[in-house]
Amino acid sequence: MDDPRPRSPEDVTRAAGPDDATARRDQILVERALGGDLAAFNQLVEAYQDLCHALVARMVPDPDQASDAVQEAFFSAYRNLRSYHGPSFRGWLTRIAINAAMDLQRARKRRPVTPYPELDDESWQPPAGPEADPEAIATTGERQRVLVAAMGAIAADQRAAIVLFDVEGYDYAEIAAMTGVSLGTVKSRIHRGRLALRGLLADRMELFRS
Amino acid sequence: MHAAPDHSPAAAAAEHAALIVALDAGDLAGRERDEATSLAGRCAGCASLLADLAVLRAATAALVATPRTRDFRLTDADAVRLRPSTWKSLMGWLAAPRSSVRPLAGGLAALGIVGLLLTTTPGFFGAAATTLSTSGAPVVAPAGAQSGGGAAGDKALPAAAPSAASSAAPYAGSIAPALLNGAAPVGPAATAASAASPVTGTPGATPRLAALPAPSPAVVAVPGPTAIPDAGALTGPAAIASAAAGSSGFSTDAGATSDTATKAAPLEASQAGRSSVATAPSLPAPPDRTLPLLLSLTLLGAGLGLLAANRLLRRRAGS
Repeated sequence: MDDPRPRSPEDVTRAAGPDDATARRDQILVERALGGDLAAFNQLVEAYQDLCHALVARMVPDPDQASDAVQEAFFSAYRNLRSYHGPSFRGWLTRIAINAAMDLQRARKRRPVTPYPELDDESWQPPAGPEADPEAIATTGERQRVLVAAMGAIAADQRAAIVLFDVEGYDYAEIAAMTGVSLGTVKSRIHRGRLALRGLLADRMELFRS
Repeated sequence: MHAAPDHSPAAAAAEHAALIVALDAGDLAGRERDEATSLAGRCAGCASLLADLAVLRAATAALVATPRTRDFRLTDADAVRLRPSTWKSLMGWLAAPRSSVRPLAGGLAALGIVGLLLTTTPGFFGAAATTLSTSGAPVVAPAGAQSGGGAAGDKALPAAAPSAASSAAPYAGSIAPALLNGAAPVGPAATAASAASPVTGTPGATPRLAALPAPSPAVVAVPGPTAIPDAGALTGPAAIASAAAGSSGFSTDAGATSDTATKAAPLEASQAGRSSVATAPSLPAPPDRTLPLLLSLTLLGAGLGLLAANRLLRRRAGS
């Protein structure tokens, strides 16, 4: 006979494999949140806020706007939690975050933004392992600055497609489902975006080849 | 007519670039892939592009995101504010950029405009209002209100009036139960009722009333404001009922109108002096246009309102 007592997310995670356990933990937290347990929803936020921020920050050039988009994504997830029917809370939340980022960029596309001012600051360096030498760190930082600036200059839908494909590792069909466009459009956006990036970085390609 | 294929160097370069980028992405197969590979082998620019794309792809994959600086957990106040409600759901639906508001609003407005065009275009909902008689005899189409109907009813009667009154009497009797007072009728049956109006009613008790042609073979009249300049607001069945009351103003008297139909003649005759008289071939009575007109206006208003609300809420959300 099954134990009628509700199990904690931690128990579920320990009892099952990593992916399955995560999905079941999420399901339990969602059910609790639907019952009015805000702490349960905040556990989901804690679990996915880094992932969502990393995704959105690459899609939205302005850091403040990126944070706003992530916050809006969690607000939207809370508002529409009843519409979540599985199987993957992570996938569902990712779609919401992508939509929030795209909506925010559409709404504010006329406003000039400074893409990541910390990258314009020569003192800022991306995280690197302790074994990296100073020259490599400097080169990596320069690449990052140049690439982020170029990414901020291409069309938002092309940028989103490139980030989802190259950085997040989704395939064409998943990106098409997430962004609500056809598979051919996804391919076209990625191709055009890459060509645009190459055009923008034509003078700095040595930096990347090295 | 098809445009001639562009054979310019720029077009060829763009085509080559598209092939190379597809090759780099692994989206080509079979003959296309062979063609692109061959192109990269014989064209220095294409080879350079292919190498650059591979390097950029690797660099993009290694792109480091800026660290998170905000905690996105919801507060109790957030939870209360975000708790779903019907009003919030409606507002959210109206303000959402990709919601169905715009298509719906556009559809409603288009339907409204089409409805207005159809309603106001002659030929779709009947011809212009005229007063007609199949028999060629003059038909009375009173132009004035009947507030002083009692006095008018005592006056003389033209020869055409009796036939109209007698043919209209059965209509008046049948519609009497639906009597409405206080407005002048517009509509075919209004004529019948008006023609059958008993003159025995109390003078002055009749509301604003305008007689219109009855749908009998003898009398066919097209209703409308043009025939009755100061006709009241009622149209359709209500108008029939109102007219049936005649100058008496009592619906319960309507059953007696059949045997007093001939008495209606003096009333109509008295109105003849203030009436327009016309003769024309018989035409079917046109349907009432008020309802489609109102429906069209409502659809148009709803569509424009939805569009305005969507625009306003989105602008507010954007700011």
